[in-house]
Amino acid sequence: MDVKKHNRVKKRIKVFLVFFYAGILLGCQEAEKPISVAVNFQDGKAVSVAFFHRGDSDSLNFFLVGNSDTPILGELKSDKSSHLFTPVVPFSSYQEYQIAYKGEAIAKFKVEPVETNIAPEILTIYPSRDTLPVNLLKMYFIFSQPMQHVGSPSDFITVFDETENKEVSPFLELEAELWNNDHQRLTLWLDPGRIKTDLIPNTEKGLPLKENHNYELVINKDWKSSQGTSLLQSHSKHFYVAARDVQKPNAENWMITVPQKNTVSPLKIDFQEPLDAILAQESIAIYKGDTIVEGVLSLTEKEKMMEFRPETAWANGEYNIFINPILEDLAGNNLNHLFDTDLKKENNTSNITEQRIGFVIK
Amino acid sequence: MKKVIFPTILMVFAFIAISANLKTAPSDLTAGFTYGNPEIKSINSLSFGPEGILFIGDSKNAAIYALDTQDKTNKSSSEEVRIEGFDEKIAASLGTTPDNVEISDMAVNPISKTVYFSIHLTDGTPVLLKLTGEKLENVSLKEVSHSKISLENPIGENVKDKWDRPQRVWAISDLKYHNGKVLVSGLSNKEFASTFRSIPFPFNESQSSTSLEVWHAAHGQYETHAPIKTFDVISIDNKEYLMASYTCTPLVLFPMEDLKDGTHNKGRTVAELGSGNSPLDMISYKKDGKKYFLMSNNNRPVMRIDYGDIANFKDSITETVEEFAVATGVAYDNLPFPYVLQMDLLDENQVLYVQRTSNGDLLLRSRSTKWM
Repeated sequence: MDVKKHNRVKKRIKVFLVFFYAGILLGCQEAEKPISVAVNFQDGKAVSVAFFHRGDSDSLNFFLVGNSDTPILGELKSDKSSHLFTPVVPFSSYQEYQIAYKGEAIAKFKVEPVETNIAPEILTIYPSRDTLPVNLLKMYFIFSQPMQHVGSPSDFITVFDETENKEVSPFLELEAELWNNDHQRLTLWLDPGRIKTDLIPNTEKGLPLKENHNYELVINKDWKSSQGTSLLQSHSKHFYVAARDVQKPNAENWMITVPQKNTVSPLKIDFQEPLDAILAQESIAIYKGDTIVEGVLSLTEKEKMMEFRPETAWANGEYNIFINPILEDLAGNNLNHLFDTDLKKENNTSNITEQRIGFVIK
Repeated sequence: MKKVIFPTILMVFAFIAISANLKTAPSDLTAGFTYGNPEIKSINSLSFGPEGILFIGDSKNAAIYALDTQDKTNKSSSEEVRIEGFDEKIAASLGTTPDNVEISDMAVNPISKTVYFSIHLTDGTPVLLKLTGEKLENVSLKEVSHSKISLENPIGENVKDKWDRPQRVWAISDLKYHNGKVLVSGLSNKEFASTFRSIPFPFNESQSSTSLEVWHAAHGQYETHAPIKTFDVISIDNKEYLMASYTCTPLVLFPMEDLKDGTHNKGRTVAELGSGNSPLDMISYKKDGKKYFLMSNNNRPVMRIDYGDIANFKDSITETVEEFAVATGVAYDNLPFPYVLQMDLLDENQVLYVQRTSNGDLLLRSRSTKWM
């Protein structure tokens, strides 16, 4: 070995020893005093972590536990041995993270959700009844909180045909999810092309649901709120599929129970059949003369009935229930025509622009 | 000697001063920019203009933002790119898991060849990342030099279509910078909602818009309500055309000179590329002296169309395509790249794409145009 080469080896050994020594020092320090990490919350979100550590801040990195390849992006502010790391995106609940110094893990932390971060729940699935027509058109899923903006409902909803003992896909896959603006109500359509007689999807695949079959719809608890918290529990709905609904809703057949005057008792409307829950709440209004009566509409008897409670007591006089003809039953039949009808042939269609039912309070 | 030295020193100082000034002074394009938080609510579309200026389409705010990325170091070509588990990488860089992130768009800076990605999180919050080599970096959306223009008459926040789908997300469906203007497709609040806007850049008060109508062969009707999903500007016989693609999947040409403010324009449908599909991205490139364009789709592989075939197709499709998923009109080749979710030109000779592969992996990779 020549002298120059020998010196280079010595230098390498020195550098190695220095780091090794530093490593031992750090190791001893950690063994005696584990690093405690404080998670800082703001508006229920884990926005940063603070901790003390001696050593070069440029050598600190933050990772998901189990992933030491991709550091978490964010801003590290250091004052001597005091460090504050603010990630670009707040830390996720229940996720485990680790802090690394020169590639070695020096601390781990997990974000426990704050108390206000309660798990979302399914409040209702419409139709709420467990016997549904074979030409059912829509289902609505109402959540207690705004739900996640990424992923597809089909990742979390499965439908099982219990009669044939197999998983089925009755819902129409659409480009964009059908959430309302606050992301708490999801609308899923049974494939209309399969419901309308003689359309190609109908002739090729048949109806999306089969008559006389039992089904179970399961909602996986991995579905998350927009804050990243999973559903409190999975949810299951069993239903039986009955005959085709081939009747339009007919407001003339509705049974009205008129309340007593000077009370805030509800006006009761019996539709004689379950109706589309969302459209029912958006299509019906009570008027006295030209003035709308303020109050609260609510559905009862599994969407077969509606109650209207006025804000102030009923006064004597003539009232009208106004019905927008877009109102549908569970099969998408509205006041003017059946869903499964050829509009060009104009058979079995009417042209109601607005329907009213009068009642008198004495 | 002193006489010589003094003027030389003066010249050196003057040169340094001029150089420093050149470095910090804004260009004509960014002169009106302000520094701060543009309050971007969503990122539906990304596209680069000149000088590293990144245009962002935000449908929630119904506004276009121009960001000065300061990313102007010229690079003639890019290294090859191949990153497996790209959604895991993006999620890990944001301290979360892939089920909590969604890539909404991707754009390559044509100057630096740096790739930019817009990401949406579970609560809809947008994040902008850039990839240099294999390293992801955050691009601040809070402290940035920017300018903004709000779209006139965008589709309302609560408008829904017949399927109950919120339509505001389509206020901006695609955008591109072309000859000093930001071109924007999307929906307006007008009776004929499908709209194409032309906005001079740097932004001032002016913006023009025109409503569009197309023959939709798979639906057998003229349509004015569905937005263009992706578009490009092409030149045929020295005349510029807007080449637009729609869901389900007509390909339509509009002469650019006809798209004047306040007018209503009927396009010429040159291909029906098959129903049950929505186009995602459109790029054009040259191979062996011939020009082609590629279109990625959500339910079809990447399609390659020869520009010559488009130029030579003089007809207008006005018949109904009765059979499900059948294509007609200008011919295309299916390339063996299904489920390409994002696509852009990486440099003159490479295409960059994000693909969901058959084993479920999300792959970011470049590919020579020789093999496209």
